[in-house]
Amino acid sequence: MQEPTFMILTALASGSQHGYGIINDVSGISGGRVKLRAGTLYSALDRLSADGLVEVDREEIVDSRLRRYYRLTAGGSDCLAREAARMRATAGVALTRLEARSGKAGT
Amino acid sequence: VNEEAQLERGYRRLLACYPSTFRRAHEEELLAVLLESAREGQRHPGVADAANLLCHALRLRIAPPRRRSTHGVPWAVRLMLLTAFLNLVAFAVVVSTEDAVSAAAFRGATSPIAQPPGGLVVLRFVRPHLPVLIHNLVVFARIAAPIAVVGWLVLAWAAARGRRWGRIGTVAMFVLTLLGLLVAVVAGHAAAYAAADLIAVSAVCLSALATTALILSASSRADNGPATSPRP
Repeated sequence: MQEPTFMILTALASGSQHGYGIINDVSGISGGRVKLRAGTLYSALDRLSADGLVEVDREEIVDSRLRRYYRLTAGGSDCLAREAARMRATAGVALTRLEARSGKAGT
Repeated sequence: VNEEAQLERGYRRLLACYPSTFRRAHEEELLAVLLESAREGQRHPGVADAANLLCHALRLRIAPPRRRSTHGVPWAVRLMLLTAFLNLVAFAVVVSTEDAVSAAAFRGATSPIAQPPGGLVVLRFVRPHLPVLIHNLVVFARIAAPIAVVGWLVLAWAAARGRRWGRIGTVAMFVLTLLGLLVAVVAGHAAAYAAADLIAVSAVCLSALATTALILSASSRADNGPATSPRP
C-alpha cells in the first residue's frame, strides 16, 4: 500500500470526511510531511471506491459547491488494520535490530 | 468573485483532460477542493496542482483502473482444482485405452478401406505413419497429463494467494490444453483415437476455458494478501 492511500484510510478511520477535510487531516497526522494534492486524493478515492474500501457517506452543498463525505467500509477497515499491523511488525524488527546494534557498539 | 470565476475556468480546462467517467463521478467535488485550497485572490491554477492534475489524468487515460470484482477468484480456484482432477481422469483414460488406440491406429494404417472419404488431405500422407505417431502421442500424453495436474494445482495456489503471474500461467495452460485437444481431434479424425480420450480431453479443455475466463474477469490485484481483500 502506498503512503497516500494509507494516510487517506487512516484519516477516514476516525469518521466520515470530505476531500478538503482529508487533505488537512493527512497533513496533521503526518506533522505536515504529507501534503496531498487534489489530483492525488481523488485518484486514490476513485480507486478505493472501486475496490470497495471506502464509500460515499453523504453529500452536502456548501456555497453552491458539492461536498461529498467518504467513510471506510468494513473491508477498508480490515485492510487498514492489516497494513498497520504489518508496519508495526516491520518497525518492531527495525527497532530491535537498532537496539542490538547500539548494544554491541556500547560494549 | 471575478478572480474565483477565472480560477474555476482554469481548473475546468485542466479537468477536461480527465476521462469522462472520472469527470462525471468527481469533477464537481474535485473542483470544490481545488478552489477551497486556493490562496486568497489566486487567479490561475498553481503549477504544482496543474502538473499533479495532468499527471493523474494522463495515468487514468493510459491505464484506467480495472473495475473487477474479486468474487470470481474462489470459484476460479475451485475450477482449477476441478481441471486438475479432470486432467487426472484424462490421464487414466489415455492409459487404459492405450492398447485399443494402438490397435485402431495399426488397422487404420494397413487397411485401405478405413480411409475416410472426406478426410483431411494431410491425413492421407500421415496415415502410414499413424501407429508410430499415435504411439508417440500416447507417450506424450502420459508424460504431459501428470505435469498438467501439478501445473493446475500450482495455479490454484497462486490464484488463491492473488499472485499476478497466476493469470499468465492460466492463459498459458489453457493454450496448451487447447493444443492438446486439437491434436486429439486430428488423431480422432483418423479414427485411431478412442472416443473416451476425446471426451476426456474435451472436458479438460472446457474446464480450462471456464477457469481462464473467470480468472481474467476477476481481480488478482492483491500482491501479497488473500485475493478476496484487495490492497491498493
